[in-house]
Amino acid sequence: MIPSQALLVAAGAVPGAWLRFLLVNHLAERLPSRPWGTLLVNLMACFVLGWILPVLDRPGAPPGASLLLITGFLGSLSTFSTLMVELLTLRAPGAPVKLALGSLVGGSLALMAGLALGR
Amino acid sequence: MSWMPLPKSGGSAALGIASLRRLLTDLSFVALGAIPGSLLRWLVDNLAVVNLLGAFVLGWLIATAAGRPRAWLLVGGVGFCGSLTSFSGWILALHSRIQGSGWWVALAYWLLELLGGLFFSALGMGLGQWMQRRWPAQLGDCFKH
Repeated sequence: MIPSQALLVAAGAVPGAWLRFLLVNHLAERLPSRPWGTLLVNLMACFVLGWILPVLDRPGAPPGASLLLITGFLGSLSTFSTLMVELLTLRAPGAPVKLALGSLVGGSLALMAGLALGR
Repeated sequence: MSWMPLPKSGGSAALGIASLRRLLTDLSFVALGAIPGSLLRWLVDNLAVVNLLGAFVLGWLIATAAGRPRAWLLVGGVGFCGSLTSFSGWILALHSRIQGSGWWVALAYWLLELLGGLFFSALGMGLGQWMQRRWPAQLGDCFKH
């Protein structure tokens, strides 16, 4: 572990986690249920990831930007563990299947939309 | 449906000194978990492994949260597990596999990780519920702020 690289990952991860925490809490009061907030944050991260990947691939992209923004910020912004718990605890019939399919289709579409924008 | 007894911070217009302090405390707790979580994900460098690990730990944390301080879920759940695991990386892996190995292989990997995540999350919850019955949380109030 190179200290300066670890610092970049952590420096991206903290605002990513903060944004997820604040957005999910904020949306939980306005949307019908908590999984909507998590899904929205996850899709947002997919979109930005798709947009930023080709941008950081270009020559002249600052070194370390990928660690800060992708590994740190976007990795922390999106979450897999919360989605799993939500899938397990959703009680409405059919809701877990809808959430899983919505995550798959929505995540893929968001990523592709981002990629199209970044190219 | 709210399975996570998370505090409502910052959402309302009534942002006095007390709620601002609470918000800053919450954010510090989240950061405290997010740093080791993201570093572990980076060091392990295998998203499927950390995603399954995070699903297990979060299941366990939620099942053992009753009677424990707020920091339990803020540091461990929102901060550590949330940062350790990544959804966008999971979708990116699906996308690369579609291009590398085709639709069916990519979807099979995706589904396998989904089922694995559900399994480990349920395993963590089961273990937590068992431990909670056996050793009920008692440190609760001494950490409350």
